[in-house]
Amino acid sequence: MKILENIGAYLLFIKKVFARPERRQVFLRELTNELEKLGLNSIVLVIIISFFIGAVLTLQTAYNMSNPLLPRYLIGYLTRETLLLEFSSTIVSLILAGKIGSNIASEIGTMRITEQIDALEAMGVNPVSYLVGPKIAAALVINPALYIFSVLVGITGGFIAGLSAGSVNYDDYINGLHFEFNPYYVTYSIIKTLAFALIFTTIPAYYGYNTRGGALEVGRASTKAVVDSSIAILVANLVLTKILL
Amino acid sequence: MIQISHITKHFDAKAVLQDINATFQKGKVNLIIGKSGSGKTVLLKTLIGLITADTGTINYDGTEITGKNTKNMTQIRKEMGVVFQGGALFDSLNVLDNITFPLTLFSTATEKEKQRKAHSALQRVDLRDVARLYPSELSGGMKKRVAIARAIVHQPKYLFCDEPNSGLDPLTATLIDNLLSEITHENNITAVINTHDMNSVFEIGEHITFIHQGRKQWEGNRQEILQADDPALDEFLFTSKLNQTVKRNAK
Ligand SMILES: Nc1ncnc2c1ncn2[C@@H]1O[C@H](COP(=O)(O)OP(=O)(O)OP(=O)(O)O)[C@@H](O)[C@H]1O
Ligand SMILES: [Mg+2]
Repeated sequence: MKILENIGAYLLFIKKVFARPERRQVFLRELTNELEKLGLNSIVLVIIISFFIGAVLTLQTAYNMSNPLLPRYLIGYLTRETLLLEFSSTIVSLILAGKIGSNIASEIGTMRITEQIDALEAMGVNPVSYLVGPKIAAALVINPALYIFSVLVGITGGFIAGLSAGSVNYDDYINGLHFEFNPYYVTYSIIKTLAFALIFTTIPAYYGYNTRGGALEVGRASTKAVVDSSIAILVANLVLTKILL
Repeated sequence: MIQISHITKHFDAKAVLQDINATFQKGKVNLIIGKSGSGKTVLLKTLIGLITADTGTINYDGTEITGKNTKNMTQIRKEMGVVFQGGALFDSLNVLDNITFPLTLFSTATEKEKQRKAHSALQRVDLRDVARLYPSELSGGMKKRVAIARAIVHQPKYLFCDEPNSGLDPLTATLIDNLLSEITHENNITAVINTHDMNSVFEIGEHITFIHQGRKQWEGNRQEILQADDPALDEFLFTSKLNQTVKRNAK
């Protein structure tokens, strides 16, 4: 019952995001800020994680393919497929849900308890669309870009690790990367990253917006936001995969 | 002038405001006083339309904003400035951007014009060299001043302040009080100020509404308050020895 109520309130909240757009000048200024914040906040993390996971994927695949009958280009192929299909979209989004999601929840939660949201409303601003709209727009731009970036960095990580450990040679790896490339997988993943971006901005924003009380409650909202957005991402992943693949 | 009548507000089953009637006069400092938890903030937020009253009407110089008339509020918001209890400056914007914020929303002024107005508002609250600082770099009293500057930059007809001098040293508190009083008279503003500070009452209180347990218990001016015979008001105002002496001497 409580869950249904929450989902209902969440949907009404989303409706408010699109209710009355702010002046374009204000929206553009906020969007620029958010793009910068979101990008800076996540790019280093995504590089580090993607590089190491790409490296480990390659080494593990090589290790598991000691059978000489299996072609070596499968190493590059499997690394690419894992990154392309699942890691760079879902896992990266899960990690961003932790980082960006908790940022958004605590930022908006703090604004709530320090009456900054009241101040916006008193000036006739729709606080939901003003605060959340630019964050959604920025995440919709950044998350697919991070996906592509993560795939490229992951493949590079695998390449460097595989070559330097002697598990795969240059030609095999590159052949693997080209082997049976299906561009639809990229489309599928980009659709996923868009859905995940919506999830990890709006759910934390919802929790932050509905914070009541003090600093303790802001912390609580932030934790709840991360847990719920992560679950929502996993469920959305399953549903989208069923529909799209 | 703002008139409210029969304002009632419950949170769940708890009655926070009960049948409040009051008038806040133009060109005067109207104080709402009362103990912590008496309902001052809820009343102020109801006045400015952030909280919807269960029953009752609110009228701004003949414009009704309650019930079916919430659209009128949109217009009135352009003519009103609010200073919240903690200042409520936007953390992500520097002082200058905080102050120009209402101008960006309400006017078509050029960037240069907005900056000029912001600087003159800062000057009005006696602040210099802070335009580029962020709220986290300001002291409590500076934040309050910036909040006041933001509230007056678009020359509002109505000014609302929720405990503008709480948490400040007595000297700064008095300065802020006098500042608000001056601004009110200079621009013939209808000012409504929440406070539980005795000094404010006697320094600037021209019309005083005393709220006790969600009800209006007393109203009058600062001369009358010394003569008032209301036990709850007495308890609120004259608990300290110093204030008791003030009252005895006044009588
Ligand atoms: N959103 C809310 N939900 C439930 N109860 C509330 C809410 N806001 C205020 N209250 C209750 O209303 C009562 C009056 O609160 P209010 O904040 O108006 O007091 P106040 O007079 O401003 O006190 P202070 O001087 O400490 O600021 C309190 O008992 C408070 O718990
Ligand atoms: Mg209060």
